[in-house]
Amino acid sequence: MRLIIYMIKRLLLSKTIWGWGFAFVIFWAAMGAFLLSSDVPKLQDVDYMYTASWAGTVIIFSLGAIGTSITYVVTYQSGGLPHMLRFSKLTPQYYLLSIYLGALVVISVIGLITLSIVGAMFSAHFGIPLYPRNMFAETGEILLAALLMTSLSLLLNVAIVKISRKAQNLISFVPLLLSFLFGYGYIYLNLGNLTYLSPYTAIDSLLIQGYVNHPIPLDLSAFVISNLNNGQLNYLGSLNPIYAVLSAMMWFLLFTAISIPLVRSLYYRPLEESRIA
Amino acid sequence: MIELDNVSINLNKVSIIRDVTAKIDSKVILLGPNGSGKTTLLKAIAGIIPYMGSIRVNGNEVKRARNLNLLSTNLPEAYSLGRTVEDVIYLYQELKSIPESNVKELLRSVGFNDLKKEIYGLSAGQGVILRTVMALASDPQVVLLDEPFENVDAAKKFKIVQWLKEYGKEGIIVTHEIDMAAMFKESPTFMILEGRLYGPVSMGGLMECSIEEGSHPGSLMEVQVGNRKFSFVKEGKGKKMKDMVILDRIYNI
Repeated sequence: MRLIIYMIKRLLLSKTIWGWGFAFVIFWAAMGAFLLSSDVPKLQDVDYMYTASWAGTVIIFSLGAIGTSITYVVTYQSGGLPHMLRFSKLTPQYYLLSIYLGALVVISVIGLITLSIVGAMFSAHFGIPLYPRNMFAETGEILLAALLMTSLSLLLNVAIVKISRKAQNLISFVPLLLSFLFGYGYIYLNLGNLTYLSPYTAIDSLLIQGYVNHPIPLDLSAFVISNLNNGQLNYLGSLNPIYAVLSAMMWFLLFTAISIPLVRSLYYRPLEESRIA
Repeated sequence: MIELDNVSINLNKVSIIRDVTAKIDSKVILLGPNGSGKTTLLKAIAGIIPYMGSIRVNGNEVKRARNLNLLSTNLPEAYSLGRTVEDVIYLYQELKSIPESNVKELLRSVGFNDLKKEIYGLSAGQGVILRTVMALASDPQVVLLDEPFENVDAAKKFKIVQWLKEYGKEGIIVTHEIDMAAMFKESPTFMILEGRLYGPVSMGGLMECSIEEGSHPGSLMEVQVGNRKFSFVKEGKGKKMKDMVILDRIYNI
């Protein structure tokens, strides 16, 4: 239990996580609310959709940044794992649980505060209340997103230790890079059924749907580009949230299932291996 | 008990330990020059790095060991969980079943009170003391101690000797400090040179030896360095080990 308490405490108090996972994404949300919204008509349904798209996207950015920080937490802890798993009470399951629960708490706290601030900023700009309509769904989706992002970060780091720390500087940023790629990709590209396949877009779409609390288009890009500025909400094909939830859960289970045996078979690799100069 | 059977260790494609076989069922001293493979051998026994051959701790193959809470070490790699001294104590008490009072009492006895300090902010000596205390405080069956006197001031070295005699039933103590090693006269002593393990001989006996080139009948131990053979001879003419002050001198043979 101590490792879990420790992880929660450390992650909650991390200035890096609050800086990149919260302050940085609030900056982007402010851009979306006050600078990039000048062409958006002041129609409640359209404004809700616009706000929800930004909320989903900044949450994904936040998760990417927190995921990268968690990858670094694991980087520094992984040296002792080979010894501790053999000669202490530590098990891969306990270790993973401590990271998952730590991440769940910090991501939930930051995610819910971010949603509130996004709602407040967009409401202030458009002059109508634009807060999440289904907080229950949003909370559940943030928790699912936290599990997903943490399991990916953990898997990436374990892979680094397993293969070579030389890849550290590149691989650690994969969660963040993917969050930007799929975060913007979902808004500006027609990803079709890839929306379900990619864990990032699956989560992004669920967050948007939870925010507006009604079906959203699978092809959000067409909707954003052709309809948003006309004040129309017509679209073909809605997102099936069950597929998105199943996809996110499948990825989480897959990442975790791969991580456990990898953690078990780890050997120490010096951090210095990742030095550039 | 630690059993090594034909253990070889390669790191970055370089052979560090070659075909080592030994049985360790008491506290032994391990000597050897820098880069000879002492720490590498400890790391392999502690499960930190891979090896070839067989290493068993109380009959359990280290490669396949799971949650055997009977071995502790002061190797820095083992203490990567936790940011501050307090964190490390808090976490390892649970994971290694270390009584809280033991750790704090041992640390207090050497004037180590700054528990809020970050691990990376400790001086080299403080780091060694903390890790040695963490390794010994659970009074484990097996201890693996790498240079427990390194960078530690004289007064605290004697305290550590006292702890080493009191805690841990068996294991390996690696040191270069002959004056400290000499306090374990009864301890079996091994020497690693160029990846090969020699011994055991008694530390008390070794201290009385001088080093002569070639084979000598009745020598305590023969070692090979490059293509040359050297013997540790009790009645030899050269300077005795106990007079060398630091063990590094014998490595220059």
